[in-house]
Amino acid sequence: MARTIDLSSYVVRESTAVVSQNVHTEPVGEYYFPIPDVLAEHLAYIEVKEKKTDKFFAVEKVDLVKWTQYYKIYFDHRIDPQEKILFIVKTAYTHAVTPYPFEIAQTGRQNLIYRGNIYGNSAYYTEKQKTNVKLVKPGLVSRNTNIITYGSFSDQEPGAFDELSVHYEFQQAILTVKGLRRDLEISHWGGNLAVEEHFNLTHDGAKLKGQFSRLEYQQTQFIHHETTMARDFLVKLPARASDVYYRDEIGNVSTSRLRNERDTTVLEFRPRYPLFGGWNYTWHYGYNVPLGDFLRYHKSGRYILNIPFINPLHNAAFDHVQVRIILPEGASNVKVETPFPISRETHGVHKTYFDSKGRYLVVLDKFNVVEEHSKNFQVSYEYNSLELLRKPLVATTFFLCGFLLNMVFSRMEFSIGKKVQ
Amino acid sequence: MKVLGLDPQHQASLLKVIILGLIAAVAISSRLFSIIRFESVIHEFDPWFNYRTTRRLVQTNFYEFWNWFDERSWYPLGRVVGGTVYPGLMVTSATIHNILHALNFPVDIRNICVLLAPLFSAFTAIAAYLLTSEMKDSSAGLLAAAFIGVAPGYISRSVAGSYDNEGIAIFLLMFTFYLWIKSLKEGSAFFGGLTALFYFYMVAAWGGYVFIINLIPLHVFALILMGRFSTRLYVAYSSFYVLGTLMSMQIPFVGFQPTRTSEHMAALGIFGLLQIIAFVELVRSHLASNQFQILFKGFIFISFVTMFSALVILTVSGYIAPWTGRFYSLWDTGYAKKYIPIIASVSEHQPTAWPSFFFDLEMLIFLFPAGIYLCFKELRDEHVFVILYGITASYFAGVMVRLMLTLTPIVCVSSAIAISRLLDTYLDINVVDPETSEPTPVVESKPKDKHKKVGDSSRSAATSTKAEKKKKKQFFGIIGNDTRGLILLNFFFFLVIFVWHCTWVTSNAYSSPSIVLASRQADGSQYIIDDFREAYYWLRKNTDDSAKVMSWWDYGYQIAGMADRTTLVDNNTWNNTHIATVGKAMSSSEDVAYEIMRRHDVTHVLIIFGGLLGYSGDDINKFLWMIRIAEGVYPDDVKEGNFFTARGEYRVDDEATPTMRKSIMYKMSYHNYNELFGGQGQDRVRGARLPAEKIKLSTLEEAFTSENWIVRIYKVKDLDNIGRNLEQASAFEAGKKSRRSKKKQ
Repeated sequence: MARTIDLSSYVVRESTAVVSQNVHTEPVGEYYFPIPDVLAEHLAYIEVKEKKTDKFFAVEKVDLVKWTQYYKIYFDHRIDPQEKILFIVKTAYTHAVTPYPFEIAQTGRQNLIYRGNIYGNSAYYTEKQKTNVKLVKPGLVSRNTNIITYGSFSDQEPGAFDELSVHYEFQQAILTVKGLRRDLEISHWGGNLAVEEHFNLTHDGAKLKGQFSRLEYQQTQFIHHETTMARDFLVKLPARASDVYYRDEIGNVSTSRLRNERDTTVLEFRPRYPLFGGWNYTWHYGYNVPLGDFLRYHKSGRYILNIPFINPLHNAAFDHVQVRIILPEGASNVKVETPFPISRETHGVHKTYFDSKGRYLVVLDKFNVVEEHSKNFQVSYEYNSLELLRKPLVATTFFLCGFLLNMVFSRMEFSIGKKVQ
Repeated sequence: MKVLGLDPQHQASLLKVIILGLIAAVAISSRLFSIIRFESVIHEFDPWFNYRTTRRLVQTNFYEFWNWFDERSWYPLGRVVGGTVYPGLMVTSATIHNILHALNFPVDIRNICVLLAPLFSAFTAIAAYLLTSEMKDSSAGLLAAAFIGVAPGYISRSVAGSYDNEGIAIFLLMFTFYLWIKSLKEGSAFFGGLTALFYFYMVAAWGGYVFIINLIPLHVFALILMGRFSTRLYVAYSSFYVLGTLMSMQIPFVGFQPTRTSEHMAALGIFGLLQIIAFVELVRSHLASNQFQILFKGFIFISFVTMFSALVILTVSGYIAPWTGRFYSLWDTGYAKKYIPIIASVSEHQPTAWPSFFFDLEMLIFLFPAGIYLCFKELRDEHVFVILYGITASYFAGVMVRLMLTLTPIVCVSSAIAISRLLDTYLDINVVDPETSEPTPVVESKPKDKHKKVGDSSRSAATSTKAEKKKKKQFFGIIGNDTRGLILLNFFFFLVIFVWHCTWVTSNAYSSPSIVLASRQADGSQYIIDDFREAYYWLRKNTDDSAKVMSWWDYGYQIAGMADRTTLVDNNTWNNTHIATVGKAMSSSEDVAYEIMRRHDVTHVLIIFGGLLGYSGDDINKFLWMIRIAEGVYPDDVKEGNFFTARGEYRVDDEATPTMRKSIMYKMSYHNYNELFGGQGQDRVRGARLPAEKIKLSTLEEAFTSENWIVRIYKVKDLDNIGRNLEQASAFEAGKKSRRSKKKQ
């Protein structure tokens, strides 16, 4: 069992390669993978694949036994007795590291602490194992490498635990998106997909000690890239994105630039103020993109929207992501397929311009999201082209009624007495 | 002659509708400069409050709004918003918002607020058309509509984003006057009632309603004096006054004022007078003339004595409030400066300078007397109204810059009468050519070039005269074609220049949102200086929700609107003492200020500092007003003289007085500023070099300074842990630090 803990970003990624042998007498199709529950609640992502064939195995969250959360891995075939299988479990945790000291000066150095198990998590007897810890740069006390290796250890009992504590320097902003709301609005009329993303961001790094000094900020411009302050953000939008805007609650923010690259459009923007530890900022940006880039018509008579679940932002951890898909008015028989489990899926009605009965709204909620979740998901629905006529018809009827009323009204006599000519 | 199967009369009305529609479109679009240049954003100061209350109204309901006690302003006093606000504006936009949302048009309330004033300016143009049509004819009306559509005097208060009471009030003013003229002309109780209804709307929308309730009685009084009493007048005024007064008392902010304050007494008096005259008229029709004479004299005498003594007694006993300070300042321009510095400190309350008349009205100001003269020539009842409106509004506009707004509509109406008269005279082909059986109707040729909104009538005139030229050439002198052509060309030129001037003024002077500043970068691209929003947004996101921000009152509404934090004072300025307290804190030394701030739970202090960028509207320049207002309430603690040098100069450099240097305003403004320059700082607003010594703050610490240093926010320190005063504490800290650093060396 070989494990690598990647601490080079705020989202802690663990990759465990397991060689497992069936010591039972009958073929086995499952494997239990334990995660201590303190970590398990920070678990954002888990995936298991076989090394040899690159096939993904299904994973299911099962019982919590003795402060340990077990995940059940289903192999795609049964393992015969004495047969070995090599597979890799990849996990990602958010909020698994904490800054220490809690407060640093404006240009101070930020150190983080990671606490975990020095041994690989295993529910089975382990013959041999080692743990690697990878850091962003050599910044560990008294060691000059960016990889630390523990082990190898031999013959560990199931559930062996010894505390591993890594205190290391991390000179980057720690960004947590407390809430992200993505609105995807499909319009068959305009052949347009309107995307709007609302961010609520917090800098979760070591807090700013004392107060912000603009003087110091201006005088230390040349070392800004070495501090934990976050000022420049960059998101990649689809290549054909147009009408991009970047705003916050009190209006347009003028510090943004848009640049076209070969297969993406890059939006670079700055918040209104630089973000230091403990500071918050909210904003939203949006853009239009031709519908054909993401929507396909399938032979079965269904439209299929295929679009990434999130648009990652600088390795930030997302505490809560809400994706709202607004389908055109009259869409029916809606189905959502996601490559990973979703916390909540709700269906509703959304009314906007020129709507009569409202559009079909699908809301997907997911907590604890990381970059690995920027995979495509699918929404398929049925839509009758005649529905396209609904809007003009409603508008026409509305105006017709208005004119009719006016006709009736102008032919009526309201005065009390006879008008004297 | 039939065009499009319509007879000339219908053609004319179709054209009128089209022209009016185009004028409305022009009125709206010429107010959109700021949206195109910047963005759809609420401007300046007061609009932020209106916007905030409108949002509140939209989010809750009307009764919540009515009973809203705003504990986040005027801390710790709070403000009863429902009872101290003219709700017309907010209710209007909330109604539009709710109707649109009911029809599934989810327009953001901000956009409605931003575009409300341009929308109502289109209505104003239509109201001006109606009013002027009553005065002269519809062609004068169209001219007036075009004028008011683009006149800078009105645009200054109604550009997109300038979400203020005046935006809708001018429409209401014009429309109320139109309805009044209409009801007077027809003697109709129906129109009188409508007048009252719109008067009520006006009362709900703007404090300037007092102008209506004084001008209409004045008009009635003038008519009576001219011996023009009629039943029409009686019906119109009685129905208007009774209904209007009753309705206006429904607004909590107005309440019983219509019966208890001097501003409204004229209307009541005229109402009484009308009743007496009507009664006298009735009696006269039933009695012989000699009996009547005795009765009349006795009656007049007794009623005059009783009314006057009643007024005096009521005023003395306090039932009728004497005139308020703002009204005194209308009569005596020096009054405010002496007694209420808070009113005088507002730049829009200053007396108007001559050039601003030309700036805001261009050639209309010269045509205005001509129009008044033409009204004198005809002098029907409604012309008396124009004359009275013109005279009173000119006076008020001269007293206060802000009241230029009320003058603009009547100037437009009156000049439209003048120009239309001129065009009538010079375009009347019948005088030239009696044989021409069918004169080319003026209106008909108008639309050919209606894209030239104002110049259209004169341009069409030019074309029609050209056609004439071929026919006849024997007329010379004043009615000769060449003279006509010259005059018309001349006026066409004036009108074009007028439109050009108006557009220029609008785009350059009145379209800046003032919360966003624009400048050019070296490469010519636009650079937006967004310091205000940067700092407000920082406050909004990074301070505790219960933070109390002390700033000068100018920024109160903006802080409440954009930063969503509690403020001590704001632009409502209802409590002079509270403002003076803030002024005192700003102008006194740290320990005095600290005590005041602690007592008011202040956590943050926000100041505006323009020294780095050369932004002249900053707090050091406003500082004298703070001192003056503070001195008015605390004459023992704050003395204006202490801030001036021995030679009577207001200095911030080496010669600044000790009191000045000790004041926290000075300290906060220039804290860390010298260090930015690595020596002595240069203040670019006042062109001064700062004293070299370092500014030490012990009770406040810098919390945030915006990119260009325009907004500086300071945090008020907590009390020291071991009970020292903060000055000692920070001196101790500094001592420790320096000792420590010495040790290192």
